[in-house]
Amino acid sequence: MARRTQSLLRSFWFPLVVFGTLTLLSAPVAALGGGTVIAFYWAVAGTTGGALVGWYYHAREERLGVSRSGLPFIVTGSLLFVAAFVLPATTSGRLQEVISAFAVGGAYLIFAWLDRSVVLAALGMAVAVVPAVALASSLEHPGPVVAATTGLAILVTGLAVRRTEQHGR
Amino acid sequence: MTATGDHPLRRLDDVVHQRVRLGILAVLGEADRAEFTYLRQALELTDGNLSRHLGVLEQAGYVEIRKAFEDRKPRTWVHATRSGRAALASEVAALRELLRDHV
Repeated sequence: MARRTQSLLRSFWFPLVVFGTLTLLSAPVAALGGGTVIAFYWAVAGTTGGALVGWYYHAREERLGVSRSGLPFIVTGSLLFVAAFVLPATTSGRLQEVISAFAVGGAYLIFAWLDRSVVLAALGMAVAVVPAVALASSLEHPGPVVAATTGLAILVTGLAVRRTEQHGR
Repeated sequence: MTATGDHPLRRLDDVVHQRVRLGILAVLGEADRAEFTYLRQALELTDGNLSRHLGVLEQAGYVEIRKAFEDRKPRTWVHATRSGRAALASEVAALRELLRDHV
């Protein structure tokens, strides 16, 4: 019964689908617009996505009748949000385009630790590897490719986790 | 045979050790709070039985019970206090030690 409660509370497909979609949609924005446009995109998309995820968990916990503290997740998400804006401002060139992806990978590793999830740990490592590979390549503007690849990886993982969670019940 | 000294049997807390109360704390150990209905269904108990055991845990200071109206419906939320979580951890440690030494 404790394990059932644990598995009910460790549902994380929804934020993956939301932020995977938002990251995927950021790829054309990064390709067409510059740093200011992508910063504006994430200011709007990040807050909207965060609010949507917060609403989802609140509604889900009210419906299930069991909840856990969301504070560690809110703190990690907020730190990621700040890092995604601060890190590009402290770098330049190709690194500037992809540095936020390292922060995203790091945040997923923290989420993995909080949720004791191997899937999230693997996703965090994969997301952190993508910008490293892009930087090692000869791509002149790696930003859109990194956004599309990480967005797709997060979205596909979210959909796969959703399927697994639904089959597990 | 009587347990003496630091024997793990002496560290079992009768309030926590009872099977229903152990189940309640085990569920609450994983959650920040749980609703009365969730606990009743998860532990397959009747309203009266769950209420009685929650009362014992509340009296021991191991859980806090909050009643609220949400969307005009009465809801009872239960959450384990710090001492409740500590009592559960201590119980689990004593049981582990007991099983390790005697099974």
